[in-house]
Amino acid sequence: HGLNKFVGLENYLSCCSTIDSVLNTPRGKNQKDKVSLKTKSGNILIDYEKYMDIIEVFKPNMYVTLSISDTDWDSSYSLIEKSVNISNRLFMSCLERHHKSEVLKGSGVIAPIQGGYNIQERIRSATFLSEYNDLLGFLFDGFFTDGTVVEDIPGNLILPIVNKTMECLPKDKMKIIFGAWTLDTIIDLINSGMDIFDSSLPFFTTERNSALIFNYELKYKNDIIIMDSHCCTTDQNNVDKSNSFEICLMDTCYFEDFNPINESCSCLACRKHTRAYIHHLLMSNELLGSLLLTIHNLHYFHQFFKDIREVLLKNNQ
Amino acid sequence: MEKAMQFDVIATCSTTKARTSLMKLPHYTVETPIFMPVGTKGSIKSVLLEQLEDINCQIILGNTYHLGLRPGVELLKKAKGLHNFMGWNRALLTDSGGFQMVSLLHMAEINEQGVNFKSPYDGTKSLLTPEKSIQIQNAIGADIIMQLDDVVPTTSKDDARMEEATYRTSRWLDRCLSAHEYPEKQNIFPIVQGGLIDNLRKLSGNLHLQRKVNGYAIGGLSGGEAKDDFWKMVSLSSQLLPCNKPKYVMGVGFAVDLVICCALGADMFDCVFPTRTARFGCALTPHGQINLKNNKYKMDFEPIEKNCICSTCKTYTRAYLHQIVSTESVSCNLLSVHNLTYQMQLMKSIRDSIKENKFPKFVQKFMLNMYPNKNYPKWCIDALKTVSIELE
Repeated sequence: HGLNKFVGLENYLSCCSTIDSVLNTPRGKNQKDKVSLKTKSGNILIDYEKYMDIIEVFKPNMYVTLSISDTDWDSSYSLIEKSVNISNRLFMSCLERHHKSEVLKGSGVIAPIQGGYNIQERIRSATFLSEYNDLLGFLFDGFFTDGTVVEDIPGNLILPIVNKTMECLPKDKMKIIFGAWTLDTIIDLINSGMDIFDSSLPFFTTERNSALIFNYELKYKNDIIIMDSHCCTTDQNNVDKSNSFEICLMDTCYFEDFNPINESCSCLACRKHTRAYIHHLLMSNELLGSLLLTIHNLHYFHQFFKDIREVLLKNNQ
Repeated sequence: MEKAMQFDVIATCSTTKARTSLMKLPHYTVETPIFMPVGTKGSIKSVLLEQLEDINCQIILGNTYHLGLRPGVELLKKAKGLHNFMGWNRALLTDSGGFQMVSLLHMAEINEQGVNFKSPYDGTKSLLTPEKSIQIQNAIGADIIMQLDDVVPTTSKDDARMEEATYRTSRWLDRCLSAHEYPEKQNIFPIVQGGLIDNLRKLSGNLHLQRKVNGYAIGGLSGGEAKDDFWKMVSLSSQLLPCNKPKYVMGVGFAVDLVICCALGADMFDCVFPTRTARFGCALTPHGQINLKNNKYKMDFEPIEKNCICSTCKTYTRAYLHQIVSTESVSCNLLSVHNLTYQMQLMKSIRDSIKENKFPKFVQKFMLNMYPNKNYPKWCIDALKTVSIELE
């Protein structure tokens, strides 16, 4: 009965893509119009027919067409050019198959824009894809192959490219980007017109035994959102200076801190538990520790987006 | 003075020794017979407190040995006890720490003073005395706490050592009782020892009976002894102990063992088995345990158990669980919730059948479900025969 029911999320929307944006998925050996994908059981080669067979079984609410997206800031021009060419071809094949498919009538197609960090190639990809009216939206793909380093990519490296690409795309379609971009970069991307992000950032935060905890104030000025954020931990010595958005609960300073992770947070972990308890769980390798952190971090991230939507709604009435 | 426990037997089986009771503890009124999930280090591994409440867990276990080392007594005092520290407002029980020392630490050395052991965290030597154990358990603040006992592996052939341990356990009980600071809030249970030797069991029970306590534990079993020895010792110990107090058989958690111990008159049980086996990808059913890693579940779109009321069975198929088992840590949570639900529902069925005076019928039906070919283990047939249940 499709993916949503299988994973127990029937009342939610699903979006399928070929990469896991929290993993390192180094370049595989792609063969002519076949894409190499890293799976748990090794690399596999997949063509558009096979891919669409899978999508027809999954019946997601939306999906990204098969593409070559294994480009990053080190990629050569020829590699980028090739990824755009092949991705465009695969896009056309997938779309054709989509239109013939009965079961995918209710699913939306997301077109992946490639082009690495080359503005001209990005424009070429976006211009080609925006010719098609029957799409649900666009994915800004091909910015990284290693999901674990996305937080270190400076926002000003991708923003000019995103902005230029946006100019080529229809305003009324969804714009998606995957990966653990920092909160500041997320705000910038939203100002550039990005609509959808994934939960890579709260995932990595949990992975390093940390909790998102930052006070932010969102303002709306000259048609953009401005975020004033400041770290709200009392122990400045123990804050990683490069990341003032979170606290690491493994730190011994939380040993007898009987406050919730965040006083004003309404998540289950904050309503019921203290920093000291979560510190104890993490120190004792108890699974419940990362479970509670996941709950908090996802909740916090959701709230962050809810606040952003509110500011946008209020100022666009 | 406040009473730390009120124990009321509500119904007694007219055939067997099974009974169902209400055990009113400072934090919660527990229905017995009850299974108590084990939360060694202050959490039931991978399960949220809300989930435990949803599946009607009424009392859970904490581990004195582990909690005493981490987070430690000072912190637990500052946190005003383990209930507060972990956010659990139902009943808690802590063991004394003695069993862990003997089972985990080959280097543990026991003398009249207490147990000498090396910390696994930093290697420093410490001495756990009966007084120290109670001191830690007072800081943890559980509703029921255990005396420190001199644990000898059940399978030991050294009868002289077993006798020494039996007497020492009683001497340590007295030291525990006089060290206890909060008798109005916490109940110390003595532990009946004596290995597999009838006379020592009787001696141990009789020594404990002279002390003023609210309940008893039957210890030193579930340590790899033959099932035939196991049930006889449970039966013997249970008969020694008074009917108006709860009897807790330590370390029992297999469904068949639970049902038979209930028939022999036991009220409380604990075991890591349901949650540990969950983490290995196994699910409990009325027909025994299934391993979801098995390839035959790859295309099985049924829930683990059709009639199960747990959130896992309501949402997920065996095929889905097969996919995530051993690769996604959320599978630990989903299977632990199912397995604990199974245990809680089993105990509820036992209680309900006793109230309706249909317990013997329940046992026969339960055993037939577990052994559809009626190849009942001999020890089950023998044990049930002593309480007038025949397995056809």
